[in-house]
Amino acid sequence: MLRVGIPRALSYYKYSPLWTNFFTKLGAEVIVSPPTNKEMLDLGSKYVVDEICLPVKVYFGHVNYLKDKVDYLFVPRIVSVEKNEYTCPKFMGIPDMLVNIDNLPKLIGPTIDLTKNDNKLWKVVLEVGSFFSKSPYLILKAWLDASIELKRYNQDWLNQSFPKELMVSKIDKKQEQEILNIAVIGHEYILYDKFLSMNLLEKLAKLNISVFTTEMVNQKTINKEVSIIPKKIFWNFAKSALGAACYYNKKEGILGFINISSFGCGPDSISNSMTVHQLKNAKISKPILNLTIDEHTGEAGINTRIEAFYDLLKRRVG
Amino acid sequence: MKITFPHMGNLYIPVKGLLEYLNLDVIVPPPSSQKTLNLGVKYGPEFACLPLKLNLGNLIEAREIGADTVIMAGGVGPCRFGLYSQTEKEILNDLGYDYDCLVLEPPDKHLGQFIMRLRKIIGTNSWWRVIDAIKFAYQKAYAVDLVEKKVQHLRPLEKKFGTADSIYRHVLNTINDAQSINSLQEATNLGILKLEQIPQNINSEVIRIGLIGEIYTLLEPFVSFDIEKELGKLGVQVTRSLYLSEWINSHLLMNYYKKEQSKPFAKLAKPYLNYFVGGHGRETIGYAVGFAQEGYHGLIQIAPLTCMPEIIAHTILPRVKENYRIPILTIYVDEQSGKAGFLTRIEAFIDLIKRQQENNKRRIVL
Repeated sequence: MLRVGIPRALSYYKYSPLWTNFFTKLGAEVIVSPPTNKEMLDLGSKYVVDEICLPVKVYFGHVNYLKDKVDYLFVPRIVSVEKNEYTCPKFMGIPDMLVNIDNLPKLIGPTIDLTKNDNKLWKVVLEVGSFFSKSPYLILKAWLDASIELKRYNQDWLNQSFPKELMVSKIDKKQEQEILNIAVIGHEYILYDKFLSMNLLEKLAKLNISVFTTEMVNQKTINKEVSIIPKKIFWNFAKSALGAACYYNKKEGILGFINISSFGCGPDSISNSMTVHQLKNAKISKPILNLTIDEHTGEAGINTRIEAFYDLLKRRVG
Repeated sequence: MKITFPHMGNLYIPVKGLLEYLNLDVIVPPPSSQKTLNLGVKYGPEFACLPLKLNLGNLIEAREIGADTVIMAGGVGPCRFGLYSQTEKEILNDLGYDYDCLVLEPPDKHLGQFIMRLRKIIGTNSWWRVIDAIKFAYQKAYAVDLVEKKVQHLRPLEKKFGTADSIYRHVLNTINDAQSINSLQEATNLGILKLEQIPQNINSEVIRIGLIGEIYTLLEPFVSFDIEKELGKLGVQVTRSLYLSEWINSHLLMNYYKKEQSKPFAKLAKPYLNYFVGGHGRETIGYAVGFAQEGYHGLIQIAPLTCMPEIIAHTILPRVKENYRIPILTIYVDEQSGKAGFLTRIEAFIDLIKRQQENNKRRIVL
């Protein structure tokens, strides 16, 4: 049986059920790297330049972990997942940057670019599937089945909870203690990577804070919220972050925002500035905590800031 | 209506030419300086790249001397530059500066709206006059590049260092002042003639360096600490991957002028970088390969800190370096950069290349 490796980093958190189910249904054995740890980060940092952002360094660590354990490595070049929108330039260069790692297994690195024509996705699916099966029917069927799994995964978020695969504990609403609601805005590959986010979600759960994230807002609402900005936000993630922030700002019961991003993140540098501008000029303004992470971030400092923010919110509630 | 625009090296010359040809009131912001940078850093987003901060500073300074309308270039991704105009507009708005903005970019919503806003700026000028003005502006950019290339060639050769640069400054002024194609031609020819008469060291050996990287840091001497001049002092002949007129021709005029073709960088970048990554990432790799194939002695990549496309190029450049055995130095600049550290690095880099050349020669003699 062919073994396919999928690094547990970057877009994995968005598409994991799709990818794992697709390859499993085509008869491959899927090996996903374990959750990020310090060793992976250290090894990953060796293969890239200092200036690159933390999540990409971690991605290299995951690839490095998988390289001897699999026949194929799935490292897609995700240029765009929606018309006229892009992901991040770093996503677009990933397969080309990986050559810095020696002894790589064979790469499955399809280019997913839906900027112009939506139909191209089928070609990519067939291209990837052809590694495992000759029958286009089986490939497309596996793809459709996997898509249903992805839909379920996304539906969990839209139901205001976390998919069980992410193993995030959700506050039980029946508890007698008071619960604070806050919105946490950040890339899913930082937020749901417990090492990178320093367990932010668990920490908030312990403080009895109920968390609302970008993924819990549906696309329609996001598009409506960002339409007030005259210029199109051409980064998919940044658009969602900005739209979700505007939505949560209007929503009653949300007391504040935590913004988490990695040092040197290009899209975030602009979208954070735009978010702050939008929130500042809205009718009601809610407090925002900006957290920036890099490999030197100390957990104690983050804890202090979260606790201080918690106290501030409590006092505002009165 | 007083129109202004952000600086990028010599860009002010063609833009001013364009707007004045249309009889519009132009305010050129003061040249980028430490004060400009301080203003940008103070009001700009902390993690934004350096050009945004300087652009913001330029617009604030232009406001202080009376500008009320901005013309800017835009983009549709994935480089951050595409959102500069929107971000800057918001920041200026929060500061209480109300600017009228015209962003030149492929319109994604309404073509009609774009034309209407353009019409508002150009006033009663006919479209023919606008086309003439664009042609005139391109000629200015071309003249500037012609002179600049000559200066780049002369810097390491001249007997008394600085002669070429003082003539260069003067010629730029005369090109800037030229009001018609004839006076522009005259200014250019006179400038070239003057430059050719500079006394030169005949036997001096020069090192040839290719300068690659992000457009703003390549074209704006203020952020690159005048790297080309400093390299000239060290006996280095510099060629950039990017010249203003070539960029205008290929990006804004759809290669209308056939006389100069930029290198087929996308083809050269393969197999190192197989897809575009926004900004000038693929150009950087493509030109690195191109310069290496032409036998340049070294390459210097220069980019703003956290520039996404250049980081990707930087990660891939070691492959080019290995395959062509060409030394490459990468320099990131931001508001924290200091000149002394910068100079030390390029001096060390040039020393390394000089020693490598001597070793190579010795090997041939033996």
